[in-house]
Amino acid sequence: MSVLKPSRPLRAAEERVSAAAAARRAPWWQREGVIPYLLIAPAVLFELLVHIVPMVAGVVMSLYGLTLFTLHHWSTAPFVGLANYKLAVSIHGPIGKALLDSFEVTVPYTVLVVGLSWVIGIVAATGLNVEFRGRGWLRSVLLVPYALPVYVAIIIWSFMLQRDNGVVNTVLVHELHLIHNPPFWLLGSKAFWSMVAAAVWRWFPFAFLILLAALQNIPTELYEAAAVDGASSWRQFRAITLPSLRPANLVLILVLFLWNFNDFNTPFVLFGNAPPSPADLVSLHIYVVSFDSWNFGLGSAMSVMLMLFLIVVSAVYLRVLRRGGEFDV
Amino acid sequence: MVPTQVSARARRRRLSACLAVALCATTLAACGSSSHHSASASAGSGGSSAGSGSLKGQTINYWASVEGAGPSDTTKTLTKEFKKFTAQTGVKVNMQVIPWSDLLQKILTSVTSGTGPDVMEIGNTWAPSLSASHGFLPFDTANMNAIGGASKFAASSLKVSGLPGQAPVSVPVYSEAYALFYNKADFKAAGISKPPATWAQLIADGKKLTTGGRYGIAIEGGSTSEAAHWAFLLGMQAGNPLYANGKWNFATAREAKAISTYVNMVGSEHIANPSDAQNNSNVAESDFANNKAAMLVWQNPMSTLAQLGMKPSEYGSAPLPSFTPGATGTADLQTFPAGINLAIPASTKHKAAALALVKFLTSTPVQVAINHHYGTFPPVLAAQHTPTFSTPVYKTLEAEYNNHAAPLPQVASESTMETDLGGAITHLISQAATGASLSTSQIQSALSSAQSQLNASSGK
Repeated sequence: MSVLKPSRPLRAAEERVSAAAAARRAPWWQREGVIPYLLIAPAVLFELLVHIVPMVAGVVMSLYGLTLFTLHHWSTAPFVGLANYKLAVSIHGPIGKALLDSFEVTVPYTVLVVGLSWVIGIVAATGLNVEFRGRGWLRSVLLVPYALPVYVAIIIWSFMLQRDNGVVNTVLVHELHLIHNPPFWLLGSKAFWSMVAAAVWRWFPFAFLILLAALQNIPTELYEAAAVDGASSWRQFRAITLPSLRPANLVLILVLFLWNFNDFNTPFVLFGNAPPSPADLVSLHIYVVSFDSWNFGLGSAMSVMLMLFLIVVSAVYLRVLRRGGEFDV
Repeated sequence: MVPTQVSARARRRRLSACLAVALCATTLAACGSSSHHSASASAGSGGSSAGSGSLKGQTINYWASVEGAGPSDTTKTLTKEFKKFTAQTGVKVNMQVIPWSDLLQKILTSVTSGTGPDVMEIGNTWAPSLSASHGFLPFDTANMNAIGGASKFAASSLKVSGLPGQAPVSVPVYSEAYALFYNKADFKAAGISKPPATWAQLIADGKKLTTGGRYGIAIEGGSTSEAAHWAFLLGMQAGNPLYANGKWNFATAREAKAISTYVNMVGSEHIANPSDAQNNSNVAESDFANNKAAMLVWQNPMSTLAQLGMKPSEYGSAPLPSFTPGATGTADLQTFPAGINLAIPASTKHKAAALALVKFLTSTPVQVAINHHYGTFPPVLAAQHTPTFSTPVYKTLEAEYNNHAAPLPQVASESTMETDLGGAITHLISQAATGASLSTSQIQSALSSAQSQLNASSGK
């Protein structure tokens, strides 16, 4: 006598019913559809608290006349709509013009710092990607500027660039006798270049680190095959290294751009809250408007404009590059 | 290089890991840059005096500005006094010393959030602005009586404690005044028999004293607040108040000419080191103490000069010069009532204990002890009359403070003025230091720009 076995679809249906019954018996937090959300909930909550809530608060604040007079009872600050934005963008007024001037300083600053950091980073990474005695030690030394706390890293430059007793003028004027009259490095137009130098010194190790990691992932067979075909080192760099670094470069340049366009620490540590005009970066400018002028509504409007600008530039950058080829990082 | 065969996915994963590590390192580095000097200075438990039973067991928080030789000196000096306060009242005091660069920002955050200390020290020039914020306990008749009454303070010192016509929101605790300090030996060597009484004489003396690597005067050319103070004093002496008829009034030819006196010290007159254009952290005091400059215009530098090794017998003090000999009234203005005030945030939950601490800190013995240590002078009249403050330097400063002082503009946008006007002047000084020749009209143009910015940011 044969035993009648249930068919395969029937078994599957039975298993589903059994699983559903088990799910009904389990507490709600142990159900399959709930557990993943519970696991990520703390991260989402903290992300909201740390990033999203302040960002939204900043946007809301920019629509209010939050000044010295309403600071304590900030909930009673008058709603001014887009008045703060109008003030910030009216380039014929003193506030809008000052913001535009600051923007015109920040753009070349960012381009120079990102560009020079990348160039120095790629040269250093390429040089230190071949084996030689002392390579590990040299790699560590190059990372020191990046490992230092930012305040320490920049204040070192502030000391070095002092006119009377800074090491730069001591070497140029008293040791090498290249210049007779010691120049000011932190005043006037030279302040811009000093700020760029300090920032490049601090950021090139980051570019070096990322590019070195990317270089180590390029198969050496490619270089060996190219060498067999008679490609020169420069040709190998252009045809193998640069294309292979593309994914890393896309992220690296974007991140360096965002960090440097927002750079507050470098000008603040070098110049305090009254930077020379050639070193008046946007972030510091907004800080001064907010905290020295006690106009937090206007400062927030400027911050929102800066955020929107950076979002638009980043989106365009990624879109253009994605259209131009593979983008898989 | 070691040949490896790594899949594209593994390479990407490794690259992602590197990026993540680098980003984490950035965050940690940024966190590491926080450099607030925080000092817990709980005074410990002591005995309680009669009549303070309701306060006993309370703990209040106190924000101190950096005074004396720095944060640790401030902590040590105040902790000593707070222990006495705890012994008298049973109230513990937790102190935090806040660097000047962060103090205003912390105060603003405290006002906005309604959280913060129970008593705080503020720069007295901020008092009008802070009063406008409505975030502080007014010292009305009841509160003023609770700390011993307004009559115990010098009248000048209470002029900078809030907005005119309203109850003060702060009371003075350390007072300072501007004066001219000069190196006696340098003056003698240059054949100068007495300190200059006019700015023209100061410049002439400065030229005689500028020799052998030493300059005639040291200035804090990179400090916006110093620049704003000079603009106020010189403008008043020249008959141009910074604020008049309900509006800012410094974009004038008269003010520009007055300010050129200060700017040209590093510019066309060459009596100050061009490097002074960068000074922004009391370097001028150090240059004077180390004889890199023969004169200094400063507020109460005695304590710092002593710490820098300059004996009181080595320098003299004199009233601030004026534009014309024998000037009187505002033309002879020599200082504004400068100093540090005590304020109680409106959000305090320990009002009685906070008032008791303010009363204690403005009591005569504490006033004598703290002001003597810091080199400031007491705003409390009974303390001023003690022998400690009867030296010639203190007498000079007190005379200026009590008889030749006028407050900085008592308007809410005063602190913004210091940033905007002070910033414009420090930029002018940096131009002068780098060799630019500045005409009065160029200076006026810079002042005009600063005034427009100030008016726009304060909604005028």
